[in-house]
Amino acid sequence: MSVDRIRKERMYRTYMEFFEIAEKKRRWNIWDDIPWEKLNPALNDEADAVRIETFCGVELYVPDYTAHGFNMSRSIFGQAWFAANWGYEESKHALAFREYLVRSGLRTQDQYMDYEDQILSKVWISPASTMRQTSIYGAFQEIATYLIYHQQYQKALREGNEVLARVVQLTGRDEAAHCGFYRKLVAFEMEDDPQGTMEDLAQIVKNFQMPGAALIPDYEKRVQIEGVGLTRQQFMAHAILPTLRSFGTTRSDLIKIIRAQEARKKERREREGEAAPAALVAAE
Amino acid sequence: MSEEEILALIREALVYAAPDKAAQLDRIEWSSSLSNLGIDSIGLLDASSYIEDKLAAHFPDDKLARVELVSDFGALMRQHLQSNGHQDERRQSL
Repeated sequence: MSVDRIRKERMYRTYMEFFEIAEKKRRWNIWDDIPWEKLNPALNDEADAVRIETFCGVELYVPDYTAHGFNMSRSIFGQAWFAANWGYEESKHALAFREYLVRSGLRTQDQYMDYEDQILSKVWISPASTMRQTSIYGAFQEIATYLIYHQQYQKALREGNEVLARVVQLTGRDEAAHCGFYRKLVAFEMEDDPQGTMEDLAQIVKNFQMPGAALIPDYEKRVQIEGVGLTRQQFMAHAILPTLRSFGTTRSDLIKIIRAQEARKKERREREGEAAPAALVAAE
Repeated sequence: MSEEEILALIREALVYAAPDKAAQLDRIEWSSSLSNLGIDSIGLLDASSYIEDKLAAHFPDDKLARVELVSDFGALMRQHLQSNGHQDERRQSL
């Protein structure tokens, strides 16, 4: 997909705004910004371990996520440099969760390494095949991740777990910033090609699942633990509907497109069904 | 609209949104949970859009997002029907 210079310039400016805030206001590091000295293992239980291990597992696919991001965007400075910055920030998330798991004694070093081996034995494959789909998927996935971390932030505060609260506060803040960037990119796409963007939006939303869903061991069991994922109501109220609004569209528009896509699919299946026996006769 | 008609319309809408679950949806009750019936977010949006078209209604997004039980759907519909009925009454009195 070729992108004209005006669009490239807009994306560059959007990236520069994002990067300026990241560099001046949002940067953090795992040594100085997390109060590890206050770590109290008594504040954790096995459900916390599963939650943090799951978050860590999702973040561990950074090599696959970034490879996809770079391959999609290398010719567009703003988006490719965002992919680099994004990968750096996400890699820090995996580090922070790993440190929390091991330092708190929730997992031993060996247990963690076994888990990491299991995670990295699989490869994440993006559900998006274009930059536009990547941005749409990113907008939903980042807001969902932010919401999950935010819930954990509030829980940790309630339980007086300052260290975990800080970890999920910092990681959640990054996720919210990523979501904002993707939303801006989708807004550009909407301006340039509203119909095509809506078609992609419908396809991504209809098939949406979090990146770890098909990869993390026992994912279905893990999401039964409160806080590992979002309920349907939470996803609808805080992810789907606000994201649609940010794209300048509505749920009715989305459903119209989904229905039209389904009708086209059905028509195609019927045509193929009719064509198949005819082809057999011809072959005979 | 009677309670039976409301429940029948909800059933019709859910079957429309999730035709592969028609057999299960045939037995829904007010207390049935949409999640347990396998209705996902898009299924809920599709079903509500179906009902909105039938009733010429528009359910508020925040209330729709909170729907979990079939009875929550029923409450949204009743709310719309009541306010619509009030409007009709007002129109008649003018």
